[in-house]
Amino acid sequence: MLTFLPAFVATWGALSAVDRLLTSAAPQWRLRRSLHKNLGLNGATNVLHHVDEITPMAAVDLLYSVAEFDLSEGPLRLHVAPTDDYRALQCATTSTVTFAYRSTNTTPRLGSTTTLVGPRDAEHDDPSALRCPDSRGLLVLRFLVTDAAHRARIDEKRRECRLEIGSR
Amino acid sequence: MLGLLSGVACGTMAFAARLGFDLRRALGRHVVHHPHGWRAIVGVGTEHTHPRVRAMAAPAYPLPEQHAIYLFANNPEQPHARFGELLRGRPMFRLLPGDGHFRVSGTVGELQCAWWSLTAYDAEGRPMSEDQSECSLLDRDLKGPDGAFEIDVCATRPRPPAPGRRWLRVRPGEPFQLVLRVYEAQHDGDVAQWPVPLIQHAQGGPAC
Repeated sequence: MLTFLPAFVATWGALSAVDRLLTSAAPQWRLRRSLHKNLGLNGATNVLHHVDEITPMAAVDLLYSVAEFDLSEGPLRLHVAPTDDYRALQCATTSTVTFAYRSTNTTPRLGSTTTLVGPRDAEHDDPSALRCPDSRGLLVLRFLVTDAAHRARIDEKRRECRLEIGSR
Repeated sequence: MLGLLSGVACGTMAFAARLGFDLRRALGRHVVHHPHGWRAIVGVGTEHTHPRVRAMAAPAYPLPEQHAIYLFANNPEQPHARFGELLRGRPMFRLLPGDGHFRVSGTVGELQCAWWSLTAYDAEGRPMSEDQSECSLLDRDLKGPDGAFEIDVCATRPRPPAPGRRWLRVRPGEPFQLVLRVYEAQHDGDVAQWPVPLIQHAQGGPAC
């Protein structure tokens, strides 16, 4: 009993500490692993990746284009080609907190240029710019497709979308 | 020495039990049971999301429910996620029997949203067919008399085809999952009150 209780408490305490550490890092780790495993993204930032394969549990009615962004070099400009159906832009932190979502349902003119501004460029003068809480994050474009022919057409169109580092 | 070893062993087992309890409690905060046979995951994609749920949902680029909500068909024979699925970050996985015949019904336009879709996946989360039109249906494809629609979810095409009835194909004898995606719903309040389609056994059995 003299050694049981201290061993029990020490084990519990050590596992709790490891658990706290893992739990706080897990969202970022799982997101990064998924980007690497499913999309082949290896930490390259500010490059739009057009997802061709349907990853587990992904919507088959959507085409995804994904990029990890890094705003430490300045604002980013995302040019989205207009398409004839629902499309949406999601911006999230690396711990998957969504801080912006714009779609053709709420922003019918979504289909032009969107500026992403990091914390370093808080004084950026574009009022419509998306202000990111961190300099790094995730950008996801979703395009609704209705059938094979429509998929091919939208797939071609989404490849016109591009990301570029804009002016401060 | 025996006291030390049993202390470590008991500490590890007690911690594993607490971890399982904690995972289920975390999920309990984010899962809503819908009386139409679904369970919805809510409150994800925000800074208030439980860190464990945030980790589980991370690969799906989770969206808060005002933008999108995902409903998973219930399986009454498996009310809770298996511990292994929890650890693999797949807490919503519920498999329906592949030899069953399910029917999803509702009224077009009742669920007000940008769009919704119903998709069948296999046990690993892969679509049941490579052909999009066979494993997923969009709300806009559903037109029936008086706005009512019915979707048969089964391995063989039901005969005879009736107006307003659609077929979602699953592989014979292979368990599957059914997911309802609702984008930008215009309903407020409790998700359990939203007018989502009803899923039930086609032969008049109990709802899922």
